[in-house]
Amino acid sequence: MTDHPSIATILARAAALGTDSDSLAAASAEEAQGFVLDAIAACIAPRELTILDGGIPLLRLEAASGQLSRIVELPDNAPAEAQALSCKPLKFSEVEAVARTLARLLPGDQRLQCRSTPPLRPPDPAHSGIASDALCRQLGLALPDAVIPDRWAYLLAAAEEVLVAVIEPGHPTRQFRPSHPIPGTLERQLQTLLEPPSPAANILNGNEILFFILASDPDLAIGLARDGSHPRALVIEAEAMADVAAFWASLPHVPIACAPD
Amino acid sequence: MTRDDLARFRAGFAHCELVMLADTAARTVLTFDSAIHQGQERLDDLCATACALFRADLPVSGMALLSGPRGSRLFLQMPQEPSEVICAVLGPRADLPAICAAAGQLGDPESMT
Repeated sequence: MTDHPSIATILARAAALGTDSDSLAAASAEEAQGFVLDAIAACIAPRELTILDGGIPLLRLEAASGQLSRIVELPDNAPAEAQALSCKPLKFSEVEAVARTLARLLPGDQRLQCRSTPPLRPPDPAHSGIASDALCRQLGLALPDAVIPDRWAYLLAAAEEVLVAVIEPGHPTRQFRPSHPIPGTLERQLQTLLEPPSPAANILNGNEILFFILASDPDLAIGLARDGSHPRALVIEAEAMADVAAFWASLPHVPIACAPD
Repeated sequence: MTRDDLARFRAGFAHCELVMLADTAARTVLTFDSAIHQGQERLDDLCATACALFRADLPVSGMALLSGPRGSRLFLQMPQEPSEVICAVLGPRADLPAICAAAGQLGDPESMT
């Protein structure tokens, strides 16, 4: 391992965030549009971005300094408004038309890829283009951190259908299946797990949840979390464990629809 | 299980950065495959987490996932040899349900036939 701390940090971050973040199975419009906006925002030096849908080119864009500077190519069946935007430097006054074009081309339920190459010709420095943030606002998207005040509460609401119980020290256990409450032995076992020194305390990093299948009941899964010094546990259906974990991991990265500017 | 088995598994999924087989009894890394070079200390950290999960006081059975904003780490005990654990490092947008299902098959030789 290199002894250069900044390189070590970069490698660790790349290993955690992924080296192949240029592809996404985008179920929703928010995910699809967020994927393309992320790619634009990531362009510092001028780049040509080819967006593919299911392996077929969908559109080519030119971006630099986190701004969309040109739409290079669109599908032949793109509407006239979109075609009028292509192959010319974009101006901020065209943000609404560009956002409408992206919304039409990125409706969700798409398997997207992004290929990044140097542009054939340098961008015109006289036209800075449209910032990805402005497109994000125009599309009515916001990053979750900006609009979700309590991520834990958001998770509990999203997982409502598979949630069985929530346990927090000093609070009564919240049962979500009154007709099938968790056994008292399990409740006591989880309360013991949450008491310091919790065996999970050294495993959890910031904002992580440890999900596992319960040894005494494989139909149930446990999620152990810690908010500062405040531990808590949720009990969910085991079959949903991977889905709930995936939701928690992707939550900060998937834009959320909100009211457009 | 060979490094090639792990490499084939990893190649099947986007955002699967590393797959490793650890021996929690011997507290050692048996083999691994990764997208980028991984330092030994990172592999050792993953192995230590597997040991803490399956050899401590947690009532864990078979599978565990550590998920957060920087992605997920999957830990799966081999059914035939529970001291051996498959560990995977996954990006935040990894398809966890599909990867967990495939890891279960990877750890169960009978399902591979």
